[in-house]
Amino acid sequence: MNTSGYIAILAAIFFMAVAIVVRRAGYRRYIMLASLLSVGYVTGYRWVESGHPPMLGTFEETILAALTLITASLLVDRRKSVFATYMLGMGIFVLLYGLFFDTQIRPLVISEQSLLVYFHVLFAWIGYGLYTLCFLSALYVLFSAAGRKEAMVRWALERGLLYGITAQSISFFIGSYYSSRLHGSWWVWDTVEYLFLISWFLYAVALHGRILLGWGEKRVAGWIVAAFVVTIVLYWGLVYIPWTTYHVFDMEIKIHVPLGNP
Amino acid sequence: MMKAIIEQLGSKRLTLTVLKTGILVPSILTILWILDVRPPAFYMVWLPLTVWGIVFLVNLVASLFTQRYIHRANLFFHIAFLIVAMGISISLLYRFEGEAIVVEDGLFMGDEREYLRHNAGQSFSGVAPAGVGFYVESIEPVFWQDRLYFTGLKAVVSYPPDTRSHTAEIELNGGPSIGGARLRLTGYGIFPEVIIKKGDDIVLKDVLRVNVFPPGNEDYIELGGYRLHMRLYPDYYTDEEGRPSTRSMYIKEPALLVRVEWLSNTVYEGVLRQGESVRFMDTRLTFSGTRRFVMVGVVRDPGEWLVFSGFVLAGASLLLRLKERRAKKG
Repeated sequence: MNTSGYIAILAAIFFMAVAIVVRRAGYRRYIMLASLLSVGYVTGYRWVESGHPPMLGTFEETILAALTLITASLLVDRRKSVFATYMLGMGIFVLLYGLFFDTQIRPLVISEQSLLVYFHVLFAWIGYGLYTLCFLSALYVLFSAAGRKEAMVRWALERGLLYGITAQSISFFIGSYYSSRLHGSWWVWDTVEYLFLISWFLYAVALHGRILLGWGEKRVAGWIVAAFVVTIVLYWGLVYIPWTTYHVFDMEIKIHVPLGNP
Repeated sequence: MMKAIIEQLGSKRLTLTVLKTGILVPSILTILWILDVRPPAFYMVWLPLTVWGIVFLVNLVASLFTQRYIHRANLFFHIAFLIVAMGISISLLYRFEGEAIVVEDGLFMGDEREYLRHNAGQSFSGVAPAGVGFYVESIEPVFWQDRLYFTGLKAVVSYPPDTRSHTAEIELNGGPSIGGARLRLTGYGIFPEVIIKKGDDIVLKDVLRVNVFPPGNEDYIELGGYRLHMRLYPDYYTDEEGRPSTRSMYIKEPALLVRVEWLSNTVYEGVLRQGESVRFMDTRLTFSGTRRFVMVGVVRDPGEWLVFSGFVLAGASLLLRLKERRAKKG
């Protein structure tokens, strides 16, 4: 990636940091828009330069994650910016985290060259973007009495959760169909697929508990926090103690993972 | 009595319990995987999964009668699981999966002996697809920066084998359906072609199916008391320290590094360029060329379409569910 890309990333980090500090909602929105444009520039630039959507490898994934977080903040949380501070804080964290990984552009290997992969990843990101929002709402409910009164929080714990499960399920269905073409089977005993099941069931418990047994917001929030933490911790466990998973896309990590030939 | 049992089996509490216990099995598997501990027996994975799956399905079916679905979409979503379960059952009973090595300009007829491995066991003739056969016209790999990094791989095949009237391309992530089986590529490599003569008699004139790809891999064959170790370099050169190496993964100037052992003693070691020979005792080995090969995965799964139908219904139901909410709100 060239200098303009790095400058745009640093600009996005700067704008997000300013947006956290600025209190007036009107100004804050414009500053967030500036950070969105900066990350949008990196995304577009990277896409044009590599010839594929920037979604493979931790560096590219963090760009998408930041884009999702800022967009979600602007769209879903636009009226009162209840979570903007936390979402932007997370955006800064993921962008800085991504800079520790290989930023070199490489072509897609054959297994990554499919529209199905792009949509699979896209829906996964939509799902986890929504889950992040649910997670922050859940923390708000658990640690602040005011949280339970916020309409935005209620939205996240009900509809946000349902949208998240929908996006995650569609991502799985697409991935599963692609798996049948690539591996010959719609289900592969890959650790990331176990992780999908774990997080899907955790969120399903929260959703069903609320709908079927009328669980209170605190109890649902507890399950959502558990789901988010378990998913993230187990995912990092897989990436940093890698044995065999097809879902590691960083070359420097992948070389330690025997994935067969080709 | 029966009604009470059905009420219990379809109760909301059991639904929640089933969902909660559903977290356990994949959690244990993930932690084992991270710790690099594999379950010592496969039933340790299948048994808890099957028990859980049966309770899940029983609760699901009973809840269709005992619980009231306010949204139609929810009902369809849960019915989709039953369709997926039917698909899985059919797959477990009738799925065939095999893998075969086919060389360029080579024929595959679907005979059991041609498969490297398959899952049919003794019931091959009952489960394997009968009409799968093709001829590999060409194999085209594409490497990034001449490294072992595949950015393209396809095999052009013609079928059926007798008339070869149809042509198709098989790739790593998909291929044609022939004789009711789906084909895809699962691997690529290069074999050396040799001529071995004893005196004036040709003992062998064929492709040697040895594992010498990627370059640097060593494999051997036994030949009348001799052990022939070999390495193949598709674009041969020697590096600054005089070690054999390859400039790229493409076949340009192939060379075969041969080491011949007799009673564990090396009697010959050297590099054979294409067309060159070596003589040891009364045997002559000629490196006549190279041949690309692909590994082809053959899958016939009659339950798969049911599983995907279930997925489509589940996905559509979820989207419909979101629409129902909006309509309700409107």
